[in-house]
Amino acid sequence: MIPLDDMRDVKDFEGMDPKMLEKLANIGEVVSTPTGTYLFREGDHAEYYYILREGRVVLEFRQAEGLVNTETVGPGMGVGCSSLAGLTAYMSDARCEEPSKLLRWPQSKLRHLFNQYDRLGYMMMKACALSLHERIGVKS
Amino acid sequence: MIPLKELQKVEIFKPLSKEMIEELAAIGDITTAKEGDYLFRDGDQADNFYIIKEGKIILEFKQPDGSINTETVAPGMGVGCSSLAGLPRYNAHGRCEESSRFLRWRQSRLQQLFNENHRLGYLLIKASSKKLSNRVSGKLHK
Repeated sequence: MIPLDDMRDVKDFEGMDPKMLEKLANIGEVVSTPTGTYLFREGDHAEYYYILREGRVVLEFRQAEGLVNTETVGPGMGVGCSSLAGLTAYMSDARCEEPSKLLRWPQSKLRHLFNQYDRLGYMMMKACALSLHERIGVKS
Repeated sequence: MIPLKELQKVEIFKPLSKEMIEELAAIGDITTAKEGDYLFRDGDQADNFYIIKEGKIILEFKQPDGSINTETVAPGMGVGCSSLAGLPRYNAHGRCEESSRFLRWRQSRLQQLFNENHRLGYLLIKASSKKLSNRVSGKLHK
């Protein structure tokens, strides 16, 4: 269960009414991680979707030619969109660059919730797609 | 109006019911473009979402360092996902590498349909997000 205070000021949740936020809060949890923790590695089962509340997470995308593209994720942003999109495996490593506090939802519970509440699923997927679009073309 | 047979074998429509596909068919049309035509350019208003039926499209994503990432889009795949997600502008050039034929939907009509049928919007954007995740992962050709 996530305290509702922690659900505020999250871009993914813009436009959602209090009941939707409560439903999401009910199936999530808050986790804290020290610097250097890997939330997941490329190829891991895409079990959780995260929203960063405090700290900083670096996503590392390994390329075919041996290079690594990185993306830094700050508070209020989502991590692990693979799980939201229903993919089976993560497509990057996700490393905490600072001590971090995250909201976390299991993919299975999200999918169950979205199957029950179409509007909530639509709004979350739209927010996820918007976020993915914004991220295309801004890798370092 | 798009003939229903044109909507078969489109990957992102696989999760949709027959009724949902009929709803989509009713608000789309079919269009063609010649080799070298630009369907849209980076920054253009994201008016349309396309599914390629024949031909080939190159998406060109400008990077902050001036380089360009490209992605080749083949028949059965979507182009112009910005419009599907409700974004105001495209974030790539979409150039026809060959003479091509497309299914096309206007963003305004899609958004109206999604607002009337949230389940359809959820399923279609979810399917599209899987493709977007691949693009974000950077597994593009530089």
